[in-house]
Amino acid sequence: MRSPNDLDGIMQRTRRYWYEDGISDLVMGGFLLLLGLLFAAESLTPPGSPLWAVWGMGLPMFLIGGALVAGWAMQQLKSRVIYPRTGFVDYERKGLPRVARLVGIMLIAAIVAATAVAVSRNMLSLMTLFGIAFLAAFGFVSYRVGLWRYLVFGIWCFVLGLILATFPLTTEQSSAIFYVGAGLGMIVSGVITWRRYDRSAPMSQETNDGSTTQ
Amino acid sequence: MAPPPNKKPFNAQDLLEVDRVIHEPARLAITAVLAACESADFVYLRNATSLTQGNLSAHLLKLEEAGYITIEKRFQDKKPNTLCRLTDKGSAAFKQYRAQVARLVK
Repeated sequence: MRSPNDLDGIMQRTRRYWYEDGISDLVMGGFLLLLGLLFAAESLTPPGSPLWAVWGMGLPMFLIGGALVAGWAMQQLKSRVIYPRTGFVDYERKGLPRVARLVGIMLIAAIVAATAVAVSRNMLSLMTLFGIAFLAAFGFVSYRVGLWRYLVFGIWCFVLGLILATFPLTTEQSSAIFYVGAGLGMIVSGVITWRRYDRSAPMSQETNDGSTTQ
Repeated sequence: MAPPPNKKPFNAQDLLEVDRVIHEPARLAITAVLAACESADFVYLRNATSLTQGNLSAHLLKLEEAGYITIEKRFQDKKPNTLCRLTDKGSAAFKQYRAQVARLVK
């Protein structure tokens, strides 16, 4: 039995349970990796060609569709692999409008897409901006759930952005390297976290209602 | 103007008024877990509180009787699953308890 004095610890542990198995990292890392590959394909296509336009138009669709597919994949993996082992927690608050979340996703997608496809004369500031945005976002997540690995990931993205800003690359090339690097970083984080979780919570055959475990 | 309820100075009467349903350590831990999420199932609550199965069941029942949580028995992938959720009354009681204890330890 935990100490009742550690109420904040118990509550924070519950809030970060979603991140404790590494599945969210693996899915998010895969998403970022694919995004990087999309930019890489765009950078290898001659500007102005029909295929180049397809890549450009496909980016917003990939961001919105990819976010929805990633969310669905995470739920499926969690319900098949995680919940039978260490239990189910639902974080969806009553009254939280789904429309607001959808608008949020679309807004982020629009900002990222607009930033990425815009022809920037100042590559240094663009890549630095990417790094700062990731550091701020993942620094906040790290603070919110009390997991240092997200701060480390944010710093990794920030350093990556700073390094890329020093190279004379096009926007597409820099974005491709940035997202591939970020995706790989997140996947490594996910693999390490998953291995730790897998060792600490092996699959058992018990039922989930607390009454019949034999 | 009257001071806000959680700002008034502590007195001995407050100690006697502490909610005994929540004050019990195991039930306090269960309530804290449920206060941090929308709902959680039996397996998670057992892992989070380190209680035995029988103990957890008994404490959940007491919280349900007090109207602080709802317990939903359901099936997921043909397996029985017990889902617990903090009610508005339970949430208010938890907040009040924390405020009372915070005044006590100051």
